[in-house]
Amino acid sequence: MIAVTLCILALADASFSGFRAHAGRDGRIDKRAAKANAAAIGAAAGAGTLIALGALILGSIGIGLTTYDGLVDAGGRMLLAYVIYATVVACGFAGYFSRWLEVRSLATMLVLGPGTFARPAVILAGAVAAATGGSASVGLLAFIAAAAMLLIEPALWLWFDRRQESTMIPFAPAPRRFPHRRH
Amino acid sequence: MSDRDRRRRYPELSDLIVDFTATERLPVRAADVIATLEADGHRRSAKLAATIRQRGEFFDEADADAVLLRSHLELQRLAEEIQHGQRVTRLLRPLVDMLDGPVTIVDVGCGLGYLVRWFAATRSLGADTRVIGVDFNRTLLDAARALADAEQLDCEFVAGDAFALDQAATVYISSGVIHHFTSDDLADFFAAQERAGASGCFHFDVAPTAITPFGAWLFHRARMREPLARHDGVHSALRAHDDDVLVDAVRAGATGWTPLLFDAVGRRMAVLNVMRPIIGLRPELVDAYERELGPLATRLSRP
Repeated sequence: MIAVTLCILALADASFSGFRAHAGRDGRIDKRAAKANAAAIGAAAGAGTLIALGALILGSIGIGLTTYDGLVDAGGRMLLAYVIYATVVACGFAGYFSRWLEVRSLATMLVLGPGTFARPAVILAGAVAAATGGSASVGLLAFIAAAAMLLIEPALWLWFDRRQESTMIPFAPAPRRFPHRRH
Repeated sequence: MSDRDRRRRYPELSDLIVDFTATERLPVRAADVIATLEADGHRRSAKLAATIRQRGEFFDEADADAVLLRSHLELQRLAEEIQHGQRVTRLLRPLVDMLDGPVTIVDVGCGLGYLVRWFAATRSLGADTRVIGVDFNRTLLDAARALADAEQLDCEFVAGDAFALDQAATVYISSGVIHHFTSDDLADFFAAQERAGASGCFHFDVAPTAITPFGAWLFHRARMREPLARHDGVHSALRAHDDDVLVDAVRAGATGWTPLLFDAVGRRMAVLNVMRPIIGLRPELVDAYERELGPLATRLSRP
């Protein structure tokens, strides 16, 4: 149950990463299909990440580095941090889809914007919680999982940058992600 | 701090890397911009300006355009998130409904024309209302036209002077433009609108509260990728005019108009209306507008 819940949260998070990585590239007014496509790409990236992490975790059990019970305990601690965050974000979304503009404003300004800003810290906090009281191997796996989730969004930035010609409407050349001084 | 000092202290690169007049585009000497920024102590801003490609001694126009286009697309994303179209509509529609005859709304400094295209897509100002976006920046206007064409939207975009159009505006609007002006320039800005025969104006800009700079920094970090967009977003919040400055500018420039504030700074939680308007209306319209506005009229003040 803990593993399944963590996977669902990870897929939802990756899906939002896809949405954010694509946001601000399409100037059309109606871009529902493009947004859904970006979220699906994020979810696919999340699924790939989860498969890789699953293989790593199973491998660690197989070679005796970690135990199933130790991982479940760590997962429970990790989940606690993420469920609190997810609940706050879910409330923010409920507010964002309210019929009152003032409630929508509050949801954006107090929850959704700051929530995105706090996301890396929350993901790391989950890893710290998982590592606390667990073995070194479990802690290492927790931090690898957190790092993998944090890398999804920048990876999707680059993915969309490379497809800039089809995703940026109207088209503008992709930015140089590592700009250097030019004279 | 004076207006001019504030503008020097918080420069916006989008003002500096391109130079459009009403009729032409002028090349911008990169070394001058970078040297000025460095001389004013803006090392980070200067470093950012230096990342734009150069062609000879000038900023490469194509690279500067690409940076601006990406920044404006990210800016549109922010406008979508704060539902700026709905915010403007709820204040503008009551006035449109009151006015006799065909109504023309002109969005001054429209950039990518998000608001103009949003009005056209949603028909939120009524099917008969004509919406025109005006800007000096031809690159952004070409993009705005391409976007409007892509969605077959009934709106127009014009390069040049918003106050010398073939057909005068009934109402002038803008979003995030007026902090680019000093208070002296603002008075001229409002004067030109009154002179053009408009019934009023709604100019939206960032509300300058104690938390605005932090909020702007947080949102631009969380939502934007383009370094120039992040840089200018925070500086624009720091340059935003106080209510008093805006009201005085309407009084000084558009002497025949009544200045009104909606969600005046300090009257409501700043997070409820981060982009608040200064409104100027012909005096004979004010009472009827308040009635037409309904419950929202309680948030309107006549300073």
